[in-house]
Formats: sequence, structure tokens, C-alpha cells
Amino acid sequence: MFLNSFIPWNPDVSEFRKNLQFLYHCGYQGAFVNVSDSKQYKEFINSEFFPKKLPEISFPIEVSSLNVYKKDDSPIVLFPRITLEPPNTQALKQELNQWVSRRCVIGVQSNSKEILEVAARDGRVDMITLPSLLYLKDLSKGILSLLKQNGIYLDIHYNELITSYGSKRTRILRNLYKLFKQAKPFSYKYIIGTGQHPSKKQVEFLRGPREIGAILISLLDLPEKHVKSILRENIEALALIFVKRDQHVFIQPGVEIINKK
Amino acid sequence: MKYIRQRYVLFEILSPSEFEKVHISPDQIIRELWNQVQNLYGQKGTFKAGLWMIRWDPEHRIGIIRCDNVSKWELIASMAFISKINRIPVIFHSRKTSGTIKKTLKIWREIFKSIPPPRDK
Repeated sequence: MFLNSFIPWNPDVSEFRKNLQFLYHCGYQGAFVNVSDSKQYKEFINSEFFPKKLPEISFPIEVSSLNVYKKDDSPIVLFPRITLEPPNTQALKQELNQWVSRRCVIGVQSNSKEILEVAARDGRVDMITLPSLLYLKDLSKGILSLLKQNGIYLDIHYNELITSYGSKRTRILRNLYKLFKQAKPFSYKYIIGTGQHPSKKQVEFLRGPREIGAILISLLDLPEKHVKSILRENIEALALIFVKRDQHVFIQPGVEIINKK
Repeated sequence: MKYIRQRYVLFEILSPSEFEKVHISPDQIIRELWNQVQNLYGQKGTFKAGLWMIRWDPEHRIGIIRCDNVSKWELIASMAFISKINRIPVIFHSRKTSGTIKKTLKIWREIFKSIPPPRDK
């Protein structure tokens, strides 16, 4: 199951539905919808794209269980996510306290090494989002090591790569190449999504999983096995974490209900 | 024994609804692809790929492109970087790759439920 890790929520329902149709045509079966604040979160949770009541799920919980969250109005399964952009570590902790009880996956995006380090240590954070592919110097060895230890996902957005030209594109590709050499995909959990673009015409920057896989294989020299894990297995695992949290089957880290009957 | 093995990439072009009926010719597509492959992989990558448009259905915007078997991913990656043809915003979506035209045409009929156009002579 191919899932897109980041598509922005659009309050204009018809436009958003069009984006979903495009995603479906491009080959995705699901996506994480990014909400920027509490207002957007409420809008999405109460929309026709997400089940308002907790859907009944059959045990054991596996990838096919994700389809329970699919609504008739949407061609693909949608899960909410929030990307926190705190100005300092105190604000990060406050925002995490606020968002941890809500039905969403939590990501942190920042240019500050200090914030990224605190986020990488915090168990409530699910993923770290790279703010720009042009500057990856903030992602130090220490932070990468913490991400690996705590099993936090590393979220990459490809729209900057697609929309850039000339030397800018070369620099992005070089940064990605260096990142994949430093943090190898078999030991780090990468996920890939479309990302936010200042232009409202989000549709033009969507690309299918096959095309993104081809870029990773041919330009960044990743083996096909790792590309499959980036595009499919890692993101499926993240979606399953969300489902398990939403269904209240987590008791403690390492302890979860495997069958309610 | 064949010294170069070919791959046939079945693809479709998606575009926002307001541009859906604008005509796109196969020459424009192949020219854009050549430019993009040359941009990314240089002349060496381009002549090795040996791109050739086998079929193109302008009505449904579906086509088959032939390339070298080792350049398959290069071709698909180049497709990802094309965002406009003749100022029309487009998204290339490769659906399937096969080793024979016969099989690719069969997949075309199965996926798109349409009859592929005859080959230009």
C-alpha cells in the first residue's frame, strides 16, 4: 500500500477532492493530511473524509485494517497529521502536551538543532520533517543517532526537488545523496510526501510512487529493496501506529492488546 | 542472441481539468523527454536510452515509449521532472513496464479498457 506522508488540508472541499482524485490516479492508496492548527484539525476530523466515530476493527491489526478508515467520499484512506513548528523548546513541550491526546500523528519541523534534539528524544514525536532540502546541516550526527535509537521517522518532501531548476536542483540532489550516504535507509526510517507549496495549485506537483522510486533508484543510487521500504513499508508501519493509538490498543511501550475478544 | 534488450513503458499524461482537451502531439512529448533525460543524465545517458515513441493515443493521453532495459528507471525519473509541455501543466504517470509490445498492448487494454491506436507507418 503506497501512502503519501504529507498532503496539505484544503478547506475548499471540491479542490481537496480533486487533489485526492489525482493522488489516486498517481497510484497512492492513502495519505496523511497535514493540518496546521486546531481549527483545521477540527475541520478535517468533522469532514466527510474521516470517520467521526471510532471505526470497528478486526484483530489482528494489519495493513488491510487501514481500509476501515476509508470513507465513501474519498478514493483513498486519509489520516490526520500535525507538523509543529515551535520557536523554542518550551513551546515544543507545550504544543506536544496539547496535541498528544488528539487523533493525529505528530511531526516536528525546525531549523534549530536544540529543538530537533529535544524532539528526537521525546517519545510523543512520531516524525521529524525536514524544512528544506537545500540546507540539511542542522541534521547533525547526534540527532540522526537519536532518531535511530527512538525509531522516529524522517519525513522528506519532494515538491522542492520537482519545482527547482539548474543549480538549485543539483544542490538538493547533492544534499539528499549525502543524507542517504550518512544515514542509510536500511537503518533509518524514511518516509516521503508531496509537501506544502506556496502555490495553491498543489495538483501540479504531485508525482506517483513509481516516479519517486525511479528518482531514488537512478539519481540517488539506492537499491530497489530500500526504495520499497521508504515508499511502502515504513509509511504503512506509521499508519498502523496511528490506528493502534486511535483504537486504544497501546498500553505501555512494548505492551499492546493483540486481540480484544 | 539480442545484444540490446528493450523495455516498453506504458504511461499516461494527467493534467488539471481546464487543460484536459488541449492537444498534445507525440513529437512534443518525445522532445520534452529527450531534453529532460539530457538535462539529468547528459548525452551519454540519452544515446544509451534510445527513446522512441511506439504508440500515442491523443484522445485518452496514453502512450508507449521504448527504451533500453538499463535506462528504464532513468526514463521514469525524467518523466517525474517534466511539469509542463507547451505551457500545459502535465503529470507523467508511468503505469507498467514490459519487455514486449504485445504484452504492453495487452496491459493497455486491461487497464484503460480502450483499444490502442495502430502504429504509424
